[in-house]
Amino acid sequence: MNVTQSLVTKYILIMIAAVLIIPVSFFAGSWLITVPFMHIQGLLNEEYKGKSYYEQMWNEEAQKLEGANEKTINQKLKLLKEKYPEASMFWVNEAGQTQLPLPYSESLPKKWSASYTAEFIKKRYGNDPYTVFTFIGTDKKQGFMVIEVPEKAVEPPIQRLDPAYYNIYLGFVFIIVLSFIVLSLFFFLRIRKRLRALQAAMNNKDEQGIPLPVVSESTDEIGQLEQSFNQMVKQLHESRNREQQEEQLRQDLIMSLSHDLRTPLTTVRTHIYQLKNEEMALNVQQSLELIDTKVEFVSDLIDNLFSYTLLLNGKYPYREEEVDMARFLRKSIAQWYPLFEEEHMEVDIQLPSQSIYWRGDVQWLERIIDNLCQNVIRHAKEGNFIGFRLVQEHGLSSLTISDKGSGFKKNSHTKQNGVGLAIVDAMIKEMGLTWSIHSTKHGTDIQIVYKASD
Amino acid sequence: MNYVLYIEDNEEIGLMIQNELKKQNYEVTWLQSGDIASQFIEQADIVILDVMLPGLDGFTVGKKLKKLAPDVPILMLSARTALEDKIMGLEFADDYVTKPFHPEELLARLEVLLRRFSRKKEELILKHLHISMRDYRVMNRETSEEISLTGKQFYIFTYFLQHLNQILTKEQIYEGVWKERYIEGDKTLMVHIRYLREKLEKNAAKPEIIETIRGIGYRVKQ
Repeated sequence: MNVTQSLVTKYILIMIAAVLIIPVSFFAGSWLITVPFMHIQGLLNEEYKGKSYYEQMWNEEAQKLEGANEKTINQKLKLLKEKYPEASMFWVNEAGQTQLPLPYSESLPKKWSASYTAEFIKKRYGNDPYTVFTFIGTDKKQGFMVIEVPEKAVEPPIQRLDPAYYNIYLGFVFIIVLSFIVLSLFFFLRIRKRLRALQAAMNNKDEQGIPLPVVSESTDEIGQLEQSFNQMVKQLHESRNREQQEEQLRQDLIMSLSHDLRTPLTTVRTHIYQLKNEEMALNVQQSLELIDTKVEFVSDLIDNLFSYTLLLNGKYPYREEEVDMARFLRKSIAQWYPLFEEEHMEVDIQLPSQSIYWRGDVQWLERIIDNLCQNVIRHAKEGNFIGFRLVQEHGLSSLTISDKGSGFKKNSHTKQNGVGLAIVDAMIKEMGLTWSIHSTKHGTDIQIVYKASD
Repeated sequence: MNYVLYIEDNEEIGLMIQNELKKQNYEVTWLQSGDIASQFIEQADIVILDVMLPGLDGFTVGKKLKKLAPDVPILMLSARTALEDKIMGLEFADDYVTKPFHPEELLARLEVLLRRFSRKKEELILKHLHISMRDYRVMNRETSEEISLTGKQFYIFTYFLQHLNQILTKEQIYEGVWKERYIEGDKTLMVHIRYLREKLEKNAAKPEIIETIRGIGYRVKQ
């Protein structure tokens, strides 16, 4: 993977940006806000004269006035005033008298006493205005001179900027920080959105139950995840197709096996039919009947075995619908009726006049009825009776198939017809029905119960 | 004489059934594959078709034949009893018999199908009745009088004759004749059957022609 497209790279970049964003934004603010502002206010070209500048200058000037007379000193102060118009100046001579060659705002005493001097110094201690006292000359006998500079004049130029500037400056920093937060949030939300899309894609399944592939444009970690996901979807499709092919093969095998087993049985049966038309002894006839019965039995067994295999594997086709049971039973019994007649069995049918609906697959129900009827004809025809009763009571409806044979468990036929009944059992359970067998030596009742789910 | 187109690849079965059909007075063409079956469909009254065939399988052949001649009944011989096959076959086939079948059963079903498709142009004797299957005219043999039936009575009786020997449920008859869904408890059919019996039966209280199968429906048996 390309390192520049990695999410790790992006994350590291964001972390570096997070660490640097505050100092950088202050720095950028200075350049982008302060400098233009100072330019606008004309502070940029002004020479900065701080406190120490005034102090040094005043001391130097005082030194130079060593031995100067009153007039010289006054002239000097006037010159200095021209150079420093913001400052106020005066001086006090050796006798302590105030000399005011220049206008001065406050009133000063004519003569400086020791106490006034102390008080004046104390008053100017707080630096407003900034005041420098210096003895004239070196011997401290010629008196002293004073310069007062307003506090504003000694401040650095940046402090003299318009107050609106600070708001703009802070606003600038705030916007930079905010845009960083928005940017990182956007980064996170984008990752989240893509993960969400992937999750949605996993739940969005096609008719085969396989998720649909996603559109992958990026090559970063999530892009790779998306590609792996698509790969997985593709493999799922392949394996599902393979599974279907195998299933088809297996079903074809069962079908052709069923065919291969049935074809010789058909031949046997056709031969039996031809022999029956010949003259023959009674015992030969009986043997033929027996062979015919066994052919029927083997054929049913093949059918049941294949059906049971399909059922167990959940491959038996199932189409659920509302089944009008009375209508369905009439039609099914009509098909069996000639066989019952042939066996001289009394058929007792009790169906209600109103419709009773069961939810299930008609083909399955038909199969259940077929297997149960077959069971009665095979093993209980000596009772010469078969009864079908459909009743409905309190949301439960039940179908009872009764015979008057010699009972169920006593005979070995349960074993013989095991697969047929196993199919009945499996189908009944699969359709959410229940069944019970009540058997005595005078007959058997098989009851199938359907409970309508509201 | 009815003409049977019989398609079966197994030689033993094919030969025997062919002989049996000939014995029963059918004209038979037996083919061992379905590839050229469509050449014979013109003359055929009925088709007996095996599912497992070399080349084209029975379903494909059957569908093709049904498309060429929708009024020729097709009876499928199926060795495959999985429900899927039954449903697939019955989409175009009119009936099916599962191998190993009894030859009697095959012959019986053949008759039923031919009647259902009105391809059996014969005279039918039912107890005291003589019926011309060509136009379903009913004569009383004892009095030599023609029995005239009203519209619905005629349709109901024709339906019985087309399904001779079969037990028909109330729903089947009603829906076959009226072409609308039967509603449980409807007495219309019973009333019509009563009138029909009054015309056909010697004694309507003890019907011999239209038999009642209690709890299921009715049957006209030969």
